[in-house]
Amino acid sequence: MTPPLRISDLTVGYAGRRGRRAVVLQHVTADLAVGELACLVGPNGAGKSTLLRSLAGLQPYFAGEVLLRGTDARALGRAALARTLAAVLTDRFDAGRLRAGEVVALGRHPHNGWSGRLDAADRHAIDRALRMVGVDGLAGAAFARLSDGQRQRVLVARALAQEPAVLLLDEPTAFLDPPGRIALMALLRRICAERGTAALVCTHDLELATRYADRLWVTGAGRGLVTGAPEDLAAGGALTAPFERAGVRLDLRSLTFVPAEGNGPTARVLGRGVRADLAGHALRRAGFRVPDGTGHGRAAPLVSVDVDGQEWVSTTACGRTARHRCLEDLVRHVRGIRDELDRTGPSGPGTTEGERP
Amino acid sequence: MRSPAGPGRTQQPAPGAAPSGTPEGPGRAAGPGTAPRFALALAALGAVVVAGIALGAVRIPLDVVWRALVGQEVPPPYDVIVHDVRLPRTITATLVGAGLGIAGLQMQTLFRNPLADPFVLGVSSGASLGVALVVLAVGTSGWTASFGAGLGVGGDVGIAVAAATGAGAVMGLVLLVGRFVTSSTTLLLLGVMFSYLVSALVTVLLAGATPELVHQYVQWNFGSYRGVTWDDLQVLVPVLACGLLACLLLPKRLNALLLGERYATTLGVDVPLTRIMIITVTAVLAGTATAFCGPVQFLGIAVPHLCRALFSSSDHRILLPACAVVGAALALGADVLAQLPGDEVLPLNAVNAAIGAPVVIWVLVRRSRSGATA
Repeated sequence: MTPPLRISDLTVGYAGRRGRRAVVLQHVTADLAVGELACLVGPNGAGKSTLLRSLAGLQPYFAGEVLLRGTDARALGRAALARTLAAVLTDRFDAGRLRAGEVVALGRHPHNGWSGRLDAADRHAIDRALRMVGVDGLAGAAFARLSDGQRQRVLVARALAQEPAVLLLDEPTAFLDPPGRIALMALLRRICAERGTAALVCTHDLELATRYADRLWVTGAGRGLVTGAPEDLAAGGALTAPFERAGVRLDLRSLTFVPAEGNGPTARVLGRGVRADLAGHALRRAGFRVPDGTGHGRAAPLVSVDVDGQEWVSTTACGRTARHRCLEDLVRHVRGIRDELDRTGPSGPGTTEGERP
Repeated sequence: MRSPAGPGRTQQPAPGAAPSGTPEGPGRAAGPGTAPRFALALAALGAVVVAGIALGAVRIPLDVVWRALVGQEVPPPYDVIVHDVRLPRTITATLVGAGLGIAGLQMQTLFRNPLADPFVLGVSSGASLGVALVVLAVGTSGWTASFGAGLGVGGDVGIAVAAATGAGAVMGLVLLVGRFVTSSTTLLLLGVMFSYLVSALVTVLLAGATPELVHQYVQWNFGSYRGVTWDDLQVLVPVLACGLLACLLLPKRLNALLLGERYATTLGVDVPLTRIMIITVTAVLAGTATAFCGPVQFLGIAVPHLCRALFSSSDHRILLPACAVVGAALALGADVLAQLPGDEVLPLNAVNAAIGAPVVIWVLVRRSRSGATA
């Protein structure tokens, strides 16, 4: 079956002065299948937005081919392109007195006639898009007065009103709070599943992308594009090079970024459950290395923490025990112990040097 | 004469907005729909047309006004004044008002700038350069007699041709340079800079002119619908009517531009072509108006804001006819007010500013209070 979007050997970048070209990405080859949600990820400046804009027809590409449902995008007219592919951009605009419903209705542009008059089919598509995104109650509200999350949903509805085969989204979660990000990605998942739309989401947020994308398109490793399921890419190391910095590493088990552990002292949490996990969180925040699972650390821990009902009990290597009503108190206590040891001798227990595990 | 208002009557309500009366958007759902508002605006225009023919140095009875409006013979004491003065003035003011209202709306949308008006790209400064050159040339070659006295300047063919040439030249220059400019903001700045340059040239020209010639130039700068004759109307009416009709092709594109140029592109709009269309139509409307009536200020900036508020909409399928009707009514209304003092006629632009400036202030204050992004 012909994929909604097929990119072969594409070169994108910027045209400079006197015909000079600044190539950003080269030899990009990828497919987007029906109902697939792909996330385009990569560090800043790796060409995510350039690729997305080139696909959306907002800037020319230098070489290669973009096929939309099997047709060369350059052979499609403007309106035909807009009926196949819709975009949610980062552009902010002054909506004036436009109502949310009117913004969505603008999505019918490539479908209706010269006067922009909406017929029954147009209205049906608008209603369907509003309902799908869950903003049908906001149709009469002024767009300018909506919250960031509502706006982003209305803009997704506007793109859906175009009834595209391919949906491109540029950083759609950028201005949203964490629950809003999850909700938007879940919505996109649902849109892809229910309408069979193929969506490509450009995002900074690798953690969110690995949780929702069927496939990742990764830029930043050399000049090309690497694609695959998030876990496969992680296992193969493709996510490591573009994203890791000094002091930050990608934890392969949770696919989240964590601070690279330095050579801080070790602490151990003995219990299980939420309160134990929170104690581990607090100790990591305090600068301790907290080995998870049952793996035995090489060094004896400086401090062990156990959960006892509503309280936490800390025991130091030299056997001092203290009870803590809250984790703030625990953190203060263990920091005190560490500072004390630092003063008395650098070779105290638990300060063995440790690189990345 | 009311042809520009025509499409208003067949206007559909705002797309997607009508059915759901949500609690959001306070003050939006309330109030009459679009059709009654158009009826109101048309009624206001009708009243102003009647006032425009009836009021003046000579008061004309309403039954005579009616006869004049329906095209019947006007009885002797009034026939000359109605035929030679009031009717041409009324036709000119309504058409020019409609044209400037629409031109201002298009510029504000194209540049996404609430302060844009039909003259931002240099139409009026170009026209003023043409007029200054002609006034000066005439002054030095002794044709001064041909200029007629007082407010008649606007009707002079030489002035009209000079203004049109100057406006066209500056617009052409801006468009030519604009071909190498992709950003509308840069184009706007270019227009403003060109205007400054041309104004500087005009200032230099005037500095060397005699007081009488400077006075003539200043008179032209006041703006006036009164110098336009039936001969002038044979040019003015078809050109402005064509410009107004061409505008009917644009509302859909203008609506898409509300989302910004890149969104408009993803909607299938040819943005560079649209920009040229908008600028050309604006140049025709504003250039023609300026050629015959001088630089009529404030209507172009105030009417779009007024219409957005009156029709509580940003939909150009509503705003375009609304700006035509309200612009026509406001232009003629201001001119009627200008002659109220009696024998003296106030400068048109002074009256326009007295109406226009408070409107713009009101709109801007309201916008900033409602927290809308500027």
